[in-house]
Amino acid sequence: MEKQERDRLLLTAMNSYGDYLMRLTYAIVKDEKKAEDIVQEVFIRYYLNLDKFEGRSSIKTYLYRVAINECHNYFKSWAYRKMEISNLFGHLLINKDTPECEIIQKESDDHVAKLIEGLPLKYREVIWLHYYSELSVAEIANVLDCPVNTVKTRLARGRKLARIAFEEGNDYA
Amino acid sequence: MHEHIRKSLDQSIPEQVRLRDERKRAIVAEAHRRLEKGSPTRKPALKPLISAVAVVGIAGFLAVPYIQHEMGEKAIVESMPSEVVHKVSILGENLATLITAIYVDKTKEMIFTDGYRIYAYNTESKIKEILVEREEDANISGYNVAANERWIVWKQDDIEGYSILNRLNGEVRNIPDELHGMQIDGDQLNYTSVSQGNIWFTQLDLKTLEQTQLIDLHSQRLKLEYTRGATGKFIITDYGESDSSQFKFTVHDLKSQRQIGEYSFPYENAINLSISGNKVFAELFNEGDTGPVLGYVDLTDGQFYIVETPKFFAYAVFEDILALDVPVKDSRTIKLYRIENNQAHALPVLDHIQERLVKPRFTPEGSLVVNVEGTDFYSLYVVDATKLK
Repeated sequence: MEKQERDRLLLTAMNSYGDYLMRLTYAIVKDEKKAEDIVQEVFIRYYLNLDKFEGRSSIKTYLYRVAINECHNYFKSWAYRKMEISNLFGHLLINKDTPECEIIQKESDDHVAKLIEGLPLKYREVIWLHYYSELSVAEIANVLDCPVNTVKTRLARGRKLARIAFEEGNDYA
Repeated sequence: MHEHIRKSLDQSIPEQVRLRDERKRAIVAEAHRRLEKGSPTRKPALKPLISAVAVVGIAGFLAVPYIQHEMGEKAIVESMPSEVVHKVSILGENLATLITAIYVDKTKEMIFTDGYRIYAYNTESKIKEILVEREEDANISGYNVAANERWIVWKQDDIEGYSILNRLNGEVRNIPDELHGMQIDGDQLNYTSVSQGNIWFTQLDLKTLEQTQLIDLHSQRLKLEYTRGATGKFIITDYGESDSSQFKFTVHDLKSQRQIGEYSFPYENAINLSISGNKVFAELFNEGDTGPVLGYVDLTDGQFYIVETPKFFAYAVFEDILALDVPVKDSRTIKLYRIENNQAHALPVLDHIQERLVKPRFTPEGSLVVNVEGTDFYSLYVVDATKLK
């Protein structure tokens, strides 16, 4: 593939999915700098593997899959564990939440997003992929490399835990 | 509701978290560097060439029965009337814009939004018309648009209420209510509304703007399922019940607003419930199952039936025509089937299409709409299922 064509496809992908991937990745890793690094890696891999794409394969699913895998790798990494330990010590040393702070926080936070944020990662990521990234259940299964029914179960439990009482019915196919 | 959750999630992330232009430039530079670094030097070699010739020869020999089979299928496809499958390409648009496109059979239009405007694209004249311009800076999401040949109903993000365009006289009316899951059935708009802390299944007469709150979903812990089209019926499920081996639901008649009956699927989970004729279809699974099964309850006798299908990820049904999202090699696409004696029999209608097809949905009149994902991401296919009889 010509370099110009490669560049064009990369720019198209970055313009179409760049912001979504950044925000999804940030929602998972909670660190803007790390999210930027992950998204950079995702698009570079896409660029290097452009020759392997055919009309039938899904660019969107591929990008999300690489992003989620990179997030998982980050959680397994020493850099993340080291940060977790230092955060733990930080929490022990400073109790920043006064009752007033908590009330203000509760009022300003959006209820649904807050409930979702408190979910374990496995539920949180399927809800983000489904509602924010607008991936179908099957696409999420592809992204997470797990059976479709696992996604459906996690989505159903995640919704229940986040008290999403009713929704549009048809999970985008 | 889907849009509400998406918005809520989006708002939970700081606004500045975006892929900035300087980072994009850095990505391009780093991608160039790695591509050049990683390019292998090529030396001409004879062995690979001989191997390649041998492989091509063997492949050619082995391919003969396959080609004969393909030619047979092609003959079947060519014998079908050309008006059955119609490709609609809307240049300048993309999959994100067209994934929620609504096809209107009577006017042969594709209605869609790019967030700024709502358009009608006439698939015969290929003329794109602007129907609605957004007000202020608030976007219009495709999930918040309902349309038919007479009405366009839409809601803008961050603007209270929703708007109705009468396409015949150009009159626009604004309704202050909050609504979710809009669906137009003739001159009626059906939706769920939030009012005084309760969630109501509500019906609005678009001509008179007379509103009827049909069922209080919230206090009864009920969930409204989409009826997918003008069936004159709607389904309600009980989301409060859990850990049951039965999935219970009730079917109601829209006109009389009466309950037709109480039914159940003998499975823990049922999703994507839809009514086609006198049957309620759903994807069914118990926890730990390897894949969903397609089943239906026949409302005439209340009996449950399983439809034998290949492995699938999503479905849409219109009478006896079934669209399934099925695995193909290492990808997936949409294939068509006819349900006969509760078995799905393959129809080769879409087999000639090379692009990956996604999101099957039927119009109330029986047109199947699917999006193209791949190089022709600005295209859709419309299949007239009524001509497959």
